[in-house]
Amino acid sequence: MTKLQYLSLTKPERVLVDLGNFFRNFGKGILNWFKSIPLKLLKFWNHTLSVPFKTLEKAMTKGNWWVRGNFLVFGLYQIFHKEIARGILYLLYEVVFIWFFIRTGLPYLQKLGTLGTLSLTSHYMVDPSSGVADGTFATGDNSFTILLYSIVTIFLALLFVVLWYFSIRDAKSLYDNTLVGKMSNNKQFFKDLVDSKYHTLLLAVPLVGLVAFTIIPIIFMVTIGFTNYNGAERITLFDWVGFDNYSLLFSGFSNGGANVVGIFFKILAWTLLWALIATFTNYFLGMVVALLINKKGIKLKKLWRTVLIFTIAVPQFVSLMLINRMLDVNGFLTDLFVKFGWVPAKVSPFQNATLARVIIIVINTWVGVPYTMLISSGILMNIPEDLYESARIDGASSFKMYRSITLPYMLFITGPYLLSQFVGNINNFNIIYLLSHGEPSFSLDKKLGYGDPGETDLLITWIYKMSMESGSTKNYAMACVLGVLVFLVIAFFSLIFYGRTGAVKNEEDFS
Amino acid sequence: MASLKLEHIYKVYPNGHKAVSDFNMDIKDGEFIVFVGPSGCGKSTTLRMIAGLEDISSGELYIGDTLVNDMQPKDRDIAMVFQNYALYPHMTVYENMAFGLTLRKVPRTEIHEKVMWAADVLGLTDYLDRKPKAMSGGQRQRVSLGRAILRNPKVMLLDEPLSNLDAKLRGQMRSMISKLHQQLKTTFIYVTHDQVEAMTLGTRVVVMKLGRVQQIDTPQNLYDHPINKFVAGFIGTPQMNFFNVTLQEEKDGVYVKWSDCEQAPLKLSKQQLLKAEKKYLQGKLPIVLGFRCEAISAEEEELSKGDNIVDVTISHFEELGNETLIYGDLKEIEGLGGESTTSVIIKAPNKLGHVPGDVIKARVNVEKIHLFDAESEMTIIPPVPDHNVLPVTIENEKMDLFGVSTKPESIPVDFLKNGTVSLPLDALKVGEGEVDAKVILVEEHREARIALVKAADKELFVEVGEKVKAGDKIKFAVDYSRATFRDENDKLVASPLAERDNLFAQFVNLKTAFAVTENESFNKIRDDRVNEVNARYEKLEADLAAEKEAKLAEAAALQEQKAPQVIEKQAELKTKENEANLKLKELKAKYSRDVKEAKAKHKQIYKDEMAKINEQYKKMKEDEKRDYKQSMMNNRDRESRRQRRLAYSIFRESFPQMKANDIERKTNSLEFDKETELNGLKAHFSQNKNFLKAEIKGEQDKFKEEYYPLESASKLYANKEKELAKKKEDDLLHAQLIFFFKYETKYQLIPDAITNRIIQGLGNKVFTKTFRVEVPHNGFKEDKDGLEFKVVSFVNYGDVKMYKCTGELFGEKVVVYINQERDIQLGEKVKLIPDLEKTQIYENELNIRLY
Amino acid sequence: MAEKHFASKRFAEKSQRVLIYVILTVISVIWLFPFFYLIMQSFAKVSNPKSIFPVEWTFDNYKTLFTSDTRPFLNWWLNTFLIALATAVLQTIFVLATAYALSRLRFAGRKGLMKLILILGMFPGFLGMLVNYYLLQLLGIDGSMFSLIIVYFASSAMSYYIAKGFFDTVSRSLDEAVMIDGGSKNTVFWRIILPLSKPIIIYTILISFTSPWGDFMFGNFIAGSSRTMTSADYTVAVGLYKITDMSEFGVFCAGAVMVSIPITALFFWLQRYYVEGIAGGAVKG
Repeated sequence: MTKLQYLSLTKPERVLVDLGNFFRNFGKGILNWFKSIPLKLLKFWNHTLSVPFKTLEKAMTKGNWWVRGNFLVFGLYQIFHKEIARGILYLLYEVVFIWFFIRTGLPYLQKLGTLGTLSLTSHYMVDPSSGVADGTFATGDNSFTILLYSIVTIFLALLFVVLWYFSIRDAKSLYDNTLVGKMSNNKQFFKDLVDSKYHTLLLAVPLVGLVAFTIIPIIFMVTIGFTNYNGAERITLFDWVGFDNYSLLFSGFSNGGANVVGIFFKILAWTLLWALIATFTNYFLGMVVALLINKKGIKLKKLWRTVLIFTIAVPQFVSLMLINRMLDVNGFLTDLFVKFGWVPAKVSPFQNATLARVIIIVINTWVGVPYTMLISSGILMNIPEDLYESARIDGASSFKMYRSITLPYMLFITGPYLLSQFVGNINNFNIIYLLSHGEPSFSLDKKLGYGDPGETDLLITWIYKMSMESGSTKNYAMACVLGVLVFLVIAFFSLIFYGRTGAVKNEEDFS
Repeated sequence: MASLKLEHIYKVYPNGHKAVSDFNMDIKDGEFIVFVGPSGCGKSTTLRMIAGLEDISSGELYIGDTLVNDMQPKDRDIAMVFQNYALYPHMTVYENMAFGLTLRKVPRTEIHEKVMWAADVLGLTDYLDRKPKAMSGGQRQRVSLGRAILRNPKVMLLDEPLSNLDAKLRGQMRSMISKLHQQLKTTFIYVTHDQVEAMTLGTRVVVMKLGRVQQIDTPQNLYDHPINKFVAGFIGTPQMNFFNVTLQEEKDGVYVKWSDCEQAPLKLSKQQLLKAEKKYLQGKLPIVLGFRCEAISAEEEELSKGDNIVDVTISHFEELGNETLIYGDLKEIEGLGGESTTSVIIKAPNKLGHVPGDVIKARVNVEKIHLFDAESEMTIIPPVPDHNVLPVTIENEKMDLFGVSTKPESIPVDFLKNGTVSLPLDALKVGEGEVDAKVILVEEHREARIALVKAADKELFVEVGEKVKAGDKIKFAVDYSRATFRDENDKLVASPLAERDNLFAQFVNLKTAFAVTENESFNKIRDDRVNEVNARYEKLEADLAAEKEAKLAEAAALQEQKAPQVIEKQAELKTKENEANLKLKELKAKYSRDVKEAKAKHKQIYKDEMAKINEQYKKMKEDEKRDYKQSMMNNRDRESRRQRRLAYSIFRESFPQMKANDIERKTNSLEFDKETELNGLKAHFSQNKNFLKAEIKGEQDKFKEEYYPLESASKLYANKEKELAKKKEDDLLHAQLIFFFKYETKYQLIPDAITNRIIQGLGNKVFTKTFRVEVPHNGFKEDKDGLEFKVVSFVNYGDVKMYKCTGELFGEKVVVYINQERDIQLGEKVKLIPDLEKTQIYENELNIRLY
Repeated sequence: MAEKHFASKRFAEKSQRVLIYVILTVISVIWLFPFFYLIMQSFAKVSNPKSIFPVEWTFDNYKTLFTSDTRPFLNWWLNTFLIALATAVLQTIFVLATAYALSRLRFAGRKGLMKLILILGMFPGFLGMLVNYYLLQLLGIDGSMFSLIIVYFASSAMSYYIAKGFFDTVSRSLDEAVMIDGGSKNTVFWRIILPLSKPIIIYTILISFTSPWGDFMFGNFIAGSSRTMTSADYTVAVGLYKITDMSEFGVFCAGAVMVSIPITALFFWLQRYYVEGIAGGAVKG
C-alpha cells in the first residue's frame, strides 16, 4: 500500500486502514518485544548483572587488607583513608540494621510462613481496675503486624546488601586512586555534596518519605491480596491462601451465592465507560467554553473566567457534599426533578441507575469544565496567530479553522494531559462516593457479601467499601486484589497511549 | 594574561564516538585564536573542554604553565561569553556583572569600582540599573562581555557570541571585541561558524572538520595557501570556484585540461608545479582546479593579455554596490550531466554592460589558482613538500641516482626500468654524506627553510639551515631505509622500513612489580627518593625554626619596650572608636532622612504627573465630543455623517486604552527615576559606612601590630610550619609513586614526566589498559636485564646500518631494527631496552596518543 | 451594494456575539447557583431545602457554629489551618527539591526514578492508608490529626511533574555561567533558579495549602479508628461530613460558607499564578 494509494482512498476507508495498521503494528510490536527478550537478557547479564560480581572479585584480589576489611565492616577503608564522613555513614547503617534485625526483624520473619499461630484470647489487655480495654495490645500473634514488620525487614535487608556492595566498590576505587596518587579527603565529600553530588542531598529525604509511605504500603497491599484477611478487626490471625482470591473473583460465587464475576465485569465496564465519557465531556465542553470566552469581540472576558474559577476556588468536597444534599430525597434538585416528572416523588433520584449515572456525569462536568477551560484558554493564547491569518487568507470558515487548526493543535499539546485525566477519572473517588455513594445497590436475589457495591460504584469506590467501611461484608484481602487489577487496567492503557504520544519521549526537546 | 597549551587532546564519548581527536596547539599570550568550521566539527566541544564544562578524555591542557585538566571551571581563571548571553534575568545589569565578584567575597567598594570601570569601557554606564529583558540584543551581549572582563581572566572564551544579532549590530560588536582585545591584551579564544568573523578577528585561525584540525594558520595564509579543498571552500566569500581537470606536462609548460567543460586548456609555468609529484602531471589522475572570483576577470585590459581565456554564459548578477558578482557557466561537454561542475562566479567592478544570457570572455589569472588531488582533496603543491619523487633505473647492482653509484644491497630490487623513488625530506641530511649538489633557490616558510638543489641531473628539495644561500654548493646523505621504489606503472616494488617498531606493555606499580620479581633494586629506587625528600625537608624545617626563633625574640623585645605606652595608646584608640560610632549614627540618621525626603518628593511628582495626564485626556475627550456634535449639525451628507460617526465610535473605543498606555509609560519612567535615586543613596550610604568601618578596623590592627607583635608573629609562623608539613607529606607520597612498564617478564622504570602524562590521560583505569610503545630504530639501548633478542641479519642502507633482530613477546614474534655503533655478529643474543624519552606511547584499544 | 453586504456581515457578527453572551450568562447562572443556594440556606432558621430563599432569616446557624460543643467549628478550623500551613511549607520544599533534581541535574538512575514515580501513581492510594496508619503507630505518632501532616507531605515527591515542567524552561547556560563565575550547584538553585520561579513556587504553595482542606477520607479513617479523638480534634472536612441528617442542613451550609470564604479569597489573590501553573504544567502534560 503506497502512500499515494492510501491518499486516494476515501475518508472512511482510510480510517479502516489506519485501524488495521494500528492493530497489526501493535501485534508486531508485542511479537518482536518477546523475540528481543533473550537478547535483552543476555545484554543485561554481561553489562549490568555481572559487573557487581567482577568488581567484588577484583576488590578481594587486588585491594589491600583494609579494602578486604570492608567485606565485614562497612566503610572501614573509607575511615582509614581519612574519608571519615562517608565511612561513618556506611557504618551507622550497618549497626542500626543489625540492631533492628535482631531485636524485631528476625522474630517476625520467622512467623512470616505461618502468619502467627498463637491465637489471642481477647483483643486488648483489660485494665483490671476499670474493666475497660486500656488500649494496649494483648500478647500473642497479630498477623497484620507480622506481615508488615517482615516486609519492612526484607526491604531493609535488601538495602543492606546494596549498601554493602556500594561500600566495597567505593573503597576499591578510592584505593585505586591512591595507587595513582590522587588523594581525596573529608572536605571534598562535603564540597561534592553541594556540587557534583547535589542530587543526593536534594533527593535523600523525599525518597525516604516516598519509600516509607508509598512503596511499602503498595507492597503490603499486593501481598495482602494473597491472604484471607477480611479486615474486620485488626488483631486477628489470618493465613496465606495463594491465588484463591483471584480465582474466586474470576470464576467462583461468593459464599452468599451471588455471581461475583458478573458483578466485577459490570463494575469494570461502568468504570471504563465512566472514565471515557467524563474525560471527553469535560475536555470538549471546557474547550468550547474557552473558545467562546476567548472569541475576539467578546467583552468582560475576565468576568466570565472568574465566575468559572469560583468553582475551583471553593474546596471540591464542600461543593460535592452540598450537591449531594441538594439531591437528597427531599432536596432542592429532587424537587425540581419531581416537577419535571423524571422521578416519582419521595424517591431519591439515585434509585434509578441510568438517571443516577447521568446525574453523576453532569455534576462531574460542572466540577471539571472550569479546570479544562483554564487549560484550553492557556493553550489557545499561545497558538501562533499567523496560523489563523493564513487560514483566513485561504478563505476558511471559522468552523473549518476550528477543525483544522485549533483542534489538532490542542489535541497534540494536551495528549498526555488527556491520558492523565483518563487515569485520574478511573480513580475519581470523590465524585462517586460523595454524590451517589454507589446507589442504587444491585438488585440481587442472593447476598453478595463483598462490600455490597452499587450500580454506580467504580472499582475504586467498591474497593473503599470493601476495605474501609465497617460492617460484616468487609473483605480487605479482596479489596487489595481489586486494587492490583485497577493498577493493571491503568498500566495497560498508559502503555498504549504513552507509547504513541511523543510528548513523553521527546521530553528533552521540550526544555 | 597567559599562554595556553593543548597536547593530544581527545574527547571520546562512552559510545566510542571521537568528538575531538588529537588536538595539538600552542597558543601564545595575547593571541586571538578563532576556531571555525561547520556545525558538529567539535569546535564548541574543544572550547568547553578548555572552560572545564566538559571533561577531557585524554591529553593535557595547560593554562599559563599549570595543568588544569582536573580543575573546576571556577579555579581555571577563565571567563566565558555564551551564545545566548546567559544573563541572570532577575538581576539588574550591575548585579549581573558583580555576581562573579560577590561569589568571590570581593569587598563591596572594590566591586563598585570595577563594575564602573567595565561599564564605561563598554558604554553601559547609564543602563546599570536596568533588567536584561529591558535591553536590546547588542546591549545584552555587552553586559555578558562586561561580566567576563570583570573576572580579568587569564583566557577569555567566546562561544559564537554574535550569532543571535542582526547583521549591522554584528559588525559593530566585531569591532568592539577586537578593540577590547587590544585594550586588555588577554588571550582570546573565539568559536564561530561564520568565516567572515574568523578572517577579520583572528590573529590565527583553526579550521576544524569532524573533530580533526584541518589547518592552523594566519587568515591570509589560509586564504592564499589552503592545504585542502575543504579549507579552500570554507574560507572566503563567495565560495571558491571548483572544476574537474587533469594536468598534462608538455615541453613548454603544464596544460590544464578541463574534464567537464569544452574550453581551451590553461597553460601553467613548470616553475609553479615544481613541488607537485610527477604522477599528477601525466594527465591520468583527476585533479580539482580551484580559483577565487577575483582570480578570473572579464575586464578589457585583462582580456588583452590573450592567454588562458574561457567563455562564460552569464546566468545572473549580484550587485553589492562597490562590486558586482557575475554568475555564469562554462560551456559544458554534452551528455556528461551528474557531478559535472561548470558554474563560475566572476568579480567585476560593475555589470560591464552585459545582460544575462550573453556569452563573454574571461581570463583566468593562473598565478592565483589552487590544485587539489580529487581523491585525497589535499593540495598537490604544498608550500613545504614532505617528499621528492625522482626517476631511477636499477640494473645489475648499479643505480643511476645522484651520479651512478653502487646500489646498497639492502634494497631488495635488482632490476627496475625507469621506475620512481620517493625520498621523504627528512631522509636527506644536508651537511654530511657524499652526494654533492648546487643550490638553485631558497624558500623561507614558517615550518622550515627549504632549498631547491640540483644533484647530478636531478632537481629536488631539501631542508637547509640558516646560512645556506642560492648558488652555494652543499653535500647531503640519503637514508635509503626510508625510500619507496615504484615501477613505471606506479606499482609498489619496495616499501620503506617502518619508522618505528611496536612493543606492547602493561602499566604496573612498584608493589606488584616487586611482588613478582623480588628485585631489591626496585625498592632501593623508592628508598633513595624517600630519603632524598626527607633530607630536603629536614633542611627546610631547620631553616624555618631558626628564622622563627630570631623573629619571636625580636618581637618580644619590641613588646617590652612598648609596654609602658600601651595603656595610654589603648585609651587613645577607645576615643577614636567612640568618635567613629558617633559619626556612623549620624550618617544613618541622615540616610533615613534623605530616603524619606526622596520618597515624598517622588510621590508628589507622581501625583502632579497623573493630574496633568488626566487633565490633558479630559480636554481631548471634550474637544472630540464638541467637534463631533458640531460636524453632525452642520453636515447633511449621509455618507460623511456615517464616516464621522464611525470615526467617533473608534475614538471612544480606543480612548481608554490610549490613556492607560500613556499612564503606564509615565509611571514606569517615574518609578525608574525613583529607583535609581534610592539606589544611589543606598550605595552612597553603604560606601561611607564601609569606609568608616574599614578605618576603625585599620586602627585596631595597627594598634595590635604595634603593641602586641609577639602574638601576630607566632601565629604567622605556626601557619608556615603547618604549610610546610603538608607540603612534605604530599612530596613524600608522590615520591613513592613509582611505576614500571611490564614487557611480559621484564620491567622498565618509567620516568616521572611520562608517568604523570599517562595517569593524567587515563586516571585509575591505567592498570587495566595495554600500551603500544613505538620505538624509533635509534631508540634502543643495551641493558643487562633488557629484553632478549637474537640478531638475525645485517641490513646496510648505504650510510645507515641496521641490525634485524627477532624476539618473543607475549607469545608473538617481534621484529626490531636497531642501529648500533658497535658492530654485532649475526646470531648473537643481545639484551635491549627502549629509551622511553624517544618513544611515542599510545593507549592501544582506543589508539589515543599519551606521550 | 457594498453597504448592504457590509451591513449584513456586521449584523451576522453582532447576532453571533449576542448569542454567545446569552450562552455565557446561562453557564454562569448554572455554575454560581449552588453557591448562591448555599449562602441562602445558611440563613434559614427552619431548614427547608426545597425553597431557595429561606422562609425566615436568622444568624443563629452561624452562632451555633461558634458556640455549640458538639460542632466546635472554631477548633476544626484551627486544626485544619495548622495542618494545611505545615503541609504547604514541607510539601513545597519536597516538590521543588525533587523537581529541581530531576529537571536540571543529570545522574545515574534519573530516568528510572521518573518511571518508578509514574508507575506508583497508578496504584489506588488509600488502600495503603491502613498501612500508613500502622507505620505512624510504629513511630508512635498515631491518633492525632498531626499525623495527617506526615501522610500528606511524606510522598509529595510524586507531584513533581508540573514544577519540573517549569524548571525545564529555564535555559541550561545559566548553570554553566554560574559554574564559571565560581558558584556551586547549590548557589545556582538558591540564587538563580528559585528567584526566577516565583510563579511555580506560589502555585505549589497554593495547591499544597488547599489540598488538606478538601481531604476527608484519611481524616475520617483516623477519626474512626483512634479512640482518644474527640470531635474537637477533627478537621473541618471530617466535621462537616459528620453532619448528615437534613435537620442540621442550615448549620452545614453555614460551616461550608465559613470554610469557603478564606480559601476562595486566597485563590483569587493568587489567581494569576494558579492559571499560569495550570496552563504551563498542562502543556508539558
